[in-house]
Amino acid sequence: MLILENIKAYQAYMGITNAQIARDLGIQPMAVSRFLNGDNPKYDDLMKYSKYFGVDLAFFDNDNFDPSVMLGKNEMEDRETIFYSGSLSSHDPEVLETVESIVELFKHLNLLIMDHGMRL
Amino acid sequence: MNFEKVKEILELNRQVYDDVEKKYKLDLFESDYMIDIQFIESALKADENVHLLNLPLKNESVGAVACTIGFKHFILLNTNISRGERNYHLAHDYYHIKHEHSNEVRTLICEIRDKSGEVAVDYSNPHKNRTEKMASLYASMVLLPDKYLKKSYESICKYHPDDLKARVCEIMNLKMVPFTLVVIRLRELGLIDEDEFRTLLLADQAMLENTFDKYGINKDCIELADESNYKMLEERLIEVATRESGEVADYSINKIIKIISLTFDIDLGDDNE
Repeated sequence: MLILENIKAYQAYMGITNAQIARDLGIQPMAVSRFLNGDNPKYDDLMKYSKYFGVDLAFFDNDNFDPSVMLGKNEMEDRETIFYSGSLSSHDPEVLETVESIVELFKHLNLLIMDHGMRL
Repeated sequence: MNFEKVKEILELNRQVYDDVEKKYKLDLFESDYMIDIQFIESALKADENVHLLNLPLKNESVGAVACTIGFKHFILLNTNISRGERNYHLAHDYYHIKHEHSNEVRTLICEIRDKSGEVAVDYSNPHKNRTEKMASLYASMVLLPDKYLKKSYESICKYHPDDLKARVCEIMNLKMVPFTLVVIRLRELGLIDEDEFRTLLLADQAMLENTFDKYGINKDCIELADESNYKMLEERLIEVATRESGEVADYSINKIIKIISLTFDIDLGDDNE
């Protein structure tokens, strides 16, 4: 599958191992391997991996994919930033849930704007 | 509002006051260019990379959520808060979008502010904390510039020589800003002393409303913002759903509808179930 091939290419380009992804996402290395080598990934998993790498999912859905295009000097820092966004357990869970939902809403709107010409 | 928390805001403002004053002198002091909330709103709406949504959140403790994805900026303003509070959030986000020359364009930056405008959760990296302080102070200085506030407070004192709360309510109405912001700015500029500052912070919503009523001051600034964009959003989603067909678009549209039904105080009706 094109998206998965591109995710793997990006992972290799960034020098990130399956074990590292598993550790950061709190899942088993086998689950990472199953996802990357599967042929029918769930949309939520695709979103999770694109979030992990700090890019929009649309970035990977590209016939002429070039991993170097997205690499900037803050790339690694960005990835960390996104990862830590998931571990703010000290705050009010209801508020956090609301924020997570709104961020999710923004991401879907962004996808519709960027890929489907939605006007807002 | 909690006295200690407001004192902390004053201290944080002090730390970046000179920076904001020097950097944004044009915005804050030059009369020909002085910006206000109308200017800010128009500028954000005119920017094609800024998407501003006014929607009523079920969770009333969330004032605004701002998020940058790639080059696109999304701002959600809770319409279940007062107009004054909404204006403060808008000015804060205007700073982030128009004045931050960040090289982190690809970072997903997200923050959440409570009703007072303080950052409660900052999803971005710790280096942004100073930026947050600057954004908060910038918003308060743009909405209540030093010279303007000094001059108008002086005049208002003549009308309300014995009623401190009435003076604050008059300023809230004149500039459509929240109560705490006025109190902080008055203390910051030395226009009220420590005792007056403490007295004002004891005022609750009912006391404020009484003061507005007593002097017939327009209460728009404490009324709910109530300017939902939901109809527009619904129309745009229908437009995309009609034009585009594909799993990703359908998935996103369904997700958006689900999030709206769970997170927002909006009646979607049977058609959207």
